Amino acid sequence: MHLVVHVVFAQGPAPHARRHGAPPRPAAALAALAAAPGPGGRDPGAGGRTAGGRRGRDWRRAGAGGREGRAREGGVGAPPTRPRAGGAAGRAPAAAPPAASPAPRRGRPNAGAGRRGAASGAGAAAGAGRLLPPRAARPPRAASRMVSPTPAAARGGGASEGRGLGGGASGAGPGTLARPGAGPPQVGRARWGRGPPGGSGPSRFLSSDRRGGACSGAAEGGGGGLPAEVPAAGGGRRARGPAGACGGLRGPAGSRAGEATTVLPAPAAPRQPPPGPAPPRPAPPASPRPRGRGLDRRSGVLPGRGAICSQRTLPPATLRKMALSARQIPRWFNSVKLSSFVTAMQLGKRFPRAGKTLLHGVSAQPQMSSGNCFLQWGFKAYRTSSLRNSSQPANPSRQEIGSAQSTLLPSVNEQTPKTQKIPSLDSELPLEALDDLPSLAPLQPVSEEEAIQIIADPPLPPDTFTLRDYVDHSETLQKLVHLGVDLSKIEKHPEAANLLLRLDFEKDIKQILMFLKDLGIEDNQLGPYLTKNYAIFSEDLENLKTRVAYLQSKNFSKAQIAQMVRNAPFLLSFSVERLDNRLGFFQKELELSVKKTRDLVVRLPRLLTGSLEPVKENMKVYRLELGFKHNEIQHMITRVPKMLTANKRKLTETFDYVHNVMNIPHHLIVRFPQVFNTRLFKVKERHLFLTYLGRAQYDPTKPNYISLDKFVSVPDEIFCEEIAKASVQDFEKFLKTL
Amino acid sequence: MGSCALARLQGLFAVYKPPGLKWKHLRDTVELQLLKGVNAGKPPAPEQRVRFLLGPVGSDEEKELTLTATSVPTLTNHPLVCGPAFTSLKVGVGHRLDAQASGVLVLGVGHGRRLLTSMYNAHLTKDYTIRGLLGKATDDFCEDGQLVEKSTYDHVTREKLDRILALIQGSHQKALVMYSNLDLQTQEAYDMAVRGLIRPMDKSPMLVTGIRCLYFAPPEFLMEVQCMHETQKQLRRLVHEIGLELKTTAVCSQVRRTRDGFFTLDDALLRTQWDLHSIQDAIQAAAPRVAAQLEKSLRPGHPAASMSRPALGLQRA
Repeated sequence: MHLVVHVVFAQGPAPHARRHGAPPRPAAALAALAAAPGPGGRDPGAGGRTAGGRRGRDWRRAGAGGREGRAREGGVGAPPTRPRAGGAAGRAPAAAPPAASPAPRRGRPNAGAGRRGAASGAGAAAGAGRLLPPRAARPPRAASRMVSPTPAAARGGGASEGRGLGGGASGAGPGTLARPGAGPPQVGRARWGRGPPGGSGPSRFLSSDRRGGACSGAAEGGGGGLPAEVPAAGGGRRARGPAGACGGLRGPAGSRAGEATTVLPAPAAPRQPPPGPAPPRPAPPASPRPRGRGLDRRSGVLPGRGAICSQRTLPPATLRKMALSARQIPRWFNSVKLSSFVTAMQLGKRFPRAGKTLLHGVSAQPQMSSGNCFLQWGFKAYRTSSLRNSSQPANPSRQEIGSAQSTLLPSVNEQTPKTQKIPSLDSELPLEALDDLPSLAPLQPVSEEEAIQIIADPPLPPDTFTLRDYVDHSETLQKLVHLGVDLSKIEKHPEAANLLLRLDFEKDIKQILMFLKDLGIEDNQLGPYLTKNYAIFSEDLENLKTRVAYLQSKNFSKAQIAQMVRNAPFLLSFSVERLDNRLGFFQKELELSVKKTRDLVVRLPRLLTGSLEPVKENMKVYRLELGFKHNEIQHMITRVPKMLTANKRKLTETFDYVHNVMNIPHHLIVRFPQVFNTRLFKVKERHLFLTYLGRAQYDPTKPNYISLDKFVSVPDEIFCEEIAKASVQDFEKFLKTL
Repeated sequence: MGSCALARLQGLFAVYKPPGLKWKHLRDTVELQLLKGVNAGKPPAPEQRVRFLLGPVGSDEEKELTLTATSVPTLTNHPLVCGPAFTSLKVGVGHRLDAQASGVLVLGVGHGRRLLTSMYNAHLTKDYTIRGLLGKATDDFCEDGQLVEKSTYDHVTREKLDRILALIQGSHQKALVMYSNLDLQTQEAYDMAVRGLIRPMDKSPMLVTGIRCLYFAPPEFLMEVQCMHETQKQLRRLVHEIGLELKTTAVCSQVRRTRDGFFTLDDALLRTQWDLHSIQDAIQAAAPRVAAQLEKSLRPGHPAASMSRPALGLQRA
C-alpha cells in the first residue's frame, strides 16, 4: 500500500486532481496524498488512497489501463465531482462500447468482453462494476450516461464474487441479477436509483450497484491490479486459460468466458489499431514508470514479456496494481487457500497480452478476468473485516459499502452495520504502520474509546414512498411539521415531496413564511395553507408581492386580501394577468358593479382560482332552465355566491322539488336563495314532516307562514321545536316511516 | 385510541336507509363517518428515539465532547407525517335494499361481517310495508315509472283485496313447505312447524309467509308483507299482480322494510346517528340478541328445545 503512496508522491500532483482540487483529508497519510492533490474523494480509505495514486496516473494514460484506475477510484474513492469525465468518456470502456466496438450492448453483454479478452462476462462485469460507484458522487447526468451499461456489470461483479466464494447464497442473488447482462432495464433502474435528493439516502438500485462496485472496489483497492490486468491479458486465446483454471471457482462467469473464447478466437484483440484514447502511451512520466516496473519485477508475478509490454503500453498504474496485489495477497489472505492463490497468479501471468489489448483500446474495456472475481471476493472479505476493525482508517465510503451490502445482502448486514468512524481518530496513524497491521479478526474486542467513536445509525431506506423516512433527518421537514403542514398529504404528489426535500428552511421557506405572515395569515393557518399550496415554495417572492400589489390596486383591503388568500390558497399562484382576466370575467358575465364584484370575490375567492366553466354553465341553468331573470340571478348570487359553483344537477333537483312539490314561486325562492345551498334530503324530510303535521304553509300572506330561510337553515332541534312544534323523537319516528 | 375504538366496533348494527339513496352510497357514508370517529382521537404521545449526540461531559475545567445517549422526540409517527391511522374500514352490507326502497338495512363492521353470512344462512323472514296505488300501471311497477295503463278501481273493496291476499298467502304457504324439503309426516317437521321454523334452507323463489292489508282507502292501500328471499322489485311486482287479480291495475309507491331478521325499526339508526358512538352503542346493544338468534335459527334441533317437547306431549296425553 505505502508503495502506492510513494508513487503518488513521486508523480506529483496529478493533473486532474489539480484541476478539481481536493478537500482536506483527515488522515495524515492521506494528507500526503492530498499534497499531491488527490482525487478529491471525500473518502480516503485504504482503497481510496491507492485509487488516488493511481488515478493521477490513469488520467494521463487514458486509453489502456484507464479501466482499472477508474474502476478503483469508483469503488472506493467516489470523488465528489467527476474529475475525469471527459477523459474517461473518451476512453471509458464502459461508456464506449457501443461506439468503439460493435459489441451490442444488450444482446450479449459479454460479447465485447469476450472478443477482447476471453476474460469473460463476469470479469467484464466486474470491471465495469468498478465504474459504477463514482456515479453516486458524480453529477447525475454525466454519471448516467457514462455508466449506462454498468449496473448490470456491477452486479456481475457481485455475482462473480459470490461464485468465487463458492457459490454462497449471498453471491447467488446478485449473480442471477447479473445474468441478464448490461441490458437497458438495469440502466434505467440505475437512473431512478439516483433519486433521493437527500443525497444520504441511497436508493436501492444505486446501492446495489454500489455494492457491486464497492466490493470490487475494495478488492481493487489493494490488489485489484492483478485481476484488472487479466482481462486485458485475456486476448482471446489466453482466455481459455483462465476459464479453465478458474472454472471451478467461477461458475457461470467461467463458463461465459469459455463461450467467449470459443466464439471469438484470439486474433481479434492484438491487431486492432489503437483508437482515439491510445495516445497516452508516452504519457506516464518517467519517475513512476520505472518504479512500477521495478515493483513488477520484484513481485515476480510478471514474466519478462509482461514487463516490457507494460512499459510501453500499460500505464504504470496497472503494473503497480498488479504488483501490489501480488504482494498483498499473501499478507492479507493468509487464510486463502493456496490453490486459489495460484490461480490468481496464473491469471496474472496473462498480463502482457492484456497490455496490448488494452492499448488498442476502448473496446477492451468491459472485460475482467475471472481472477478478478476471486480477488474481489478476497478483498471483500478483507474489507468486511476491516470494517469492524477500527484500526483501519475509516472513511465514508465504508459506510456506503456497509449500507450497500445491507440492502442487498441481509446476511452480511448483521456483520457490517453501517458504521461510521470519526475520521479524526485515524488521522494520526501513519500509513506504513497501517500497512503492517495484521488484519484483525472480526471477533476481536473493540476498546471502549474506539467503540465510542462508532456511530451506528439505522440506514435510510433505499427508496421510499413517504416522507416519513426522511422526517427525522431533515430539518426542513421537521419545521414544516411543527408549522402544521400535513406531509402525509403532500407526499401524495411525489414532485411536491421531492421539492420539499430539496428546500432549505432558512433559505427558501422562511421568506415565504414571513411574506404570508405579513399578508395577515395567522400562525395556525400557515400549516393548512402550505399543505394546500405547497407550490408557493417554488414561486418567486417578487411575483407574489406583485400579485398582492395588484389586488391592493383593485381596492381590496389588507384584511380582505388576507381572507381571500386564506380561503383560496392558490390565489397567489395566479399571475396578475390571469387574476385580472378573471376579475373582469365576473364583472362582465354577472354584470355586477365593481363593488359587488369585489364583495363577491372576497366572500368566495374560490371563484377566482376555480374553473370558470361551471360558473358559465350555472348562469345558463338559472336563466334558461330554472327561468330566473337576470336581476334575480344577480340578487341571489350576491346573497349566496356559492350558487355559482354548485353542481348543476343538484341545483335543478333542488329547484324542482322546491318549486314543483313545495309549490314555492320564483319570487319567494329569489328572496331565500339559501335553499340552493341546502341538501335536498333535508328539504324533503322537513317538508314531508310539515305536510304530515299539516303545517306546510309557505305563503307569506297567510297565517302560520314558514319562511324558507328558517326552514332550511336551522338545525333539527330548533326546527322541530319552533317550526314544526313537535318533539325531536316524533320527527325521528316520522323519518323512519319514509 | 383508534385501536380501542375499533375493538368496540366489531359486530352488526342496523341503519334506516332513506329512499333515494343507494345502499353502496350509504355504506360508504357510514364508513366515512366511522373513519372520522376512529381517527379523531387524541394523537399518541410522540415517540422518542435514542441518539448518541456529542455533548460536553465532565466538570467545568475539563469539558470534553463525548457521545452521550439522549432521547430525542421523533416525528416519524406524528399524525401530520403518517396521515390518518385508518384509511378504510371493512363494512359489509346485509340484505340489500334498492335505491327507491327504504327501511332497515343491516351493516356489519369488522368481524361482524362474518355474522352477516350467518344471517344470510339463517334464512330469516323480513317484514315490509308496501304502499300501493290502484288505477295505474307503469313499466317498472313504481309510481314514478313510465305510465303504461290507467284503469278504474271503483269496484275494488276491502273484502276483495283481503280475499286476494289470503289466496296469495295460501299458495305461498304450499310453496314454502315444498321448498323446505321436509317430510311433514315426521316428528321433526312437526316440532319445527310448531316453533314456526319451517322454511327453505337454501335458495328459493320469493316466498310470502304472511300478507295482510293494513289500510285501504282507494286508490291507496297499505299492506304488510312477511317474506323471504325477496327482492324489492319482486314485491313491487306482487303489488302489480294484486292489481291484476282485482281486475284493475296497481303500482307500488313505497317499499319499506320494517324488520330484517331480528333487527327492527327501533334498532335502526337514522342518518343523523351514523357516527362512531351511536354505532358502537348500537353494536353493543345488538350483540347478545344477534348471538342468541343466530344460535337458535341456525340449529333448529336445539337439544333444550327438543327436550321440552316430549314432556309437553306427555302431559297432554
